[in-house]
Amino acid sequence: MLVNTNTKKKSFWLKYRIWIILGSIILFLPPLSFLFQFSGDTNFCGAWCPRMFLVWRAGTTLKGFTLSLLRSYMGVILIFSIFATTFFLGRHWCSHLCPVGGSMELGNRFIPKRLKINYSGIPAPFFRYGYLAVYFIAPALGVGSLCCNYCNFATIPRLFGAAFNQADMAYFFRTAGLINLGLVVILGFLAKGGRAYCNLLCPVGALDAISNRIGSRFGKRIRVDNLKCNGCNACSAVCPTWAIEMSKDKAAIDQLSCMPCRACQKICPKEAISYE
Amino acid sequence: MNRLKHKVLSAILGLSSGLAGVFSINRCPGGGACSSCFGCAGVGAGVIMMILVSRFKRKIVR
Repeated sequence: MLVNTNTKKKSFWLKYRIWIILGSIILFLPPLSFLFQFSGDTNFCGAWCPRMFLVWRAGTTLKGFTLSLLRSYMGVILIFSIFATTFFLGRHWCSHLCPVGGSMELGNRFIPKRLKINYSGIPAPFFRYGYLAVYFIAPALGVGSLCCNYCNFATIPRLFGAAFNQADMAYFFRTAGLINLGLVVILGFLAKGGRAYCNLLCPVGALDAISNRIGSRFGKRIRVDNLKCNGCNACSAVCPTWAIEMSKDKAAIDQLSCMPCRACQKICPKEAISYE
Repeated sequence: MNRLKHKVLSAILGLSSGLAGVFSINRCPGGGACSSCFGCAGVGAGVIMMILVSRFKRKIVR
């Protein structure tokens, strides 16, 4: 059994990660949904929508596109704040602040290990950007749109709200709700690490990963010190986004998938992984 | 299956999942209001199937 003898003081983001996620869930999700109340909303489907304004639909004029940006003004501020901070500091929105991904990861912790599905065999960036291509191209061609109908930012708040609100409960008795619930369960709660939905289907995560990858030369990221790494593979086994592969017997982190959850840093027996 | 083929197949499966999702929505007769006709379910379930096939394809191939 690998024993982590890491004696370094744990950073705030590592030590309190679960509490930060819980705080985010309280701020964003029902029944409290504190942050949405500032804009008169009850969930992400309104001024806080972080996805719909990104998509250009066939026949949309520039004026129409600008109106959609103004309608989702909080979502615009949120998304561009996320991209800017990710560029310099890594994907802390995804790993620590996103209530949607965080809920799935926390729920995943209650599922027995034998029931979990390991998706690490899928090259996530390729699947993710194939899906993202349809997300952007289909509406531009007038074929249809994945917005709203397959939205994790709509499904998870409704899951929390179902206990308090009949409309949210009714959503899961409809076909659309059942399909979305199926995706959340199979790719979230039952996935090893709880982040397969984030890693494969989330367009916000996909775009944030691009910012993470481009900014990796300039900003702080989770990195491996090859001089210390002994190739034990412990980090790869715990990574929820299967971002770590062994390359020439050393761990190599794919910044297109890494979110700085620091699970690898916590488990590394040689203190070879750090955020720098 | 070599790594490049594996990656290309994954990209195709991602695209296919997206297209399955789009066409499931296009089959919806209710516009934005779901009436539980299950018209989308068969195609929408394809999104889930694509992902599970990606996960289990090596076992299926064997």
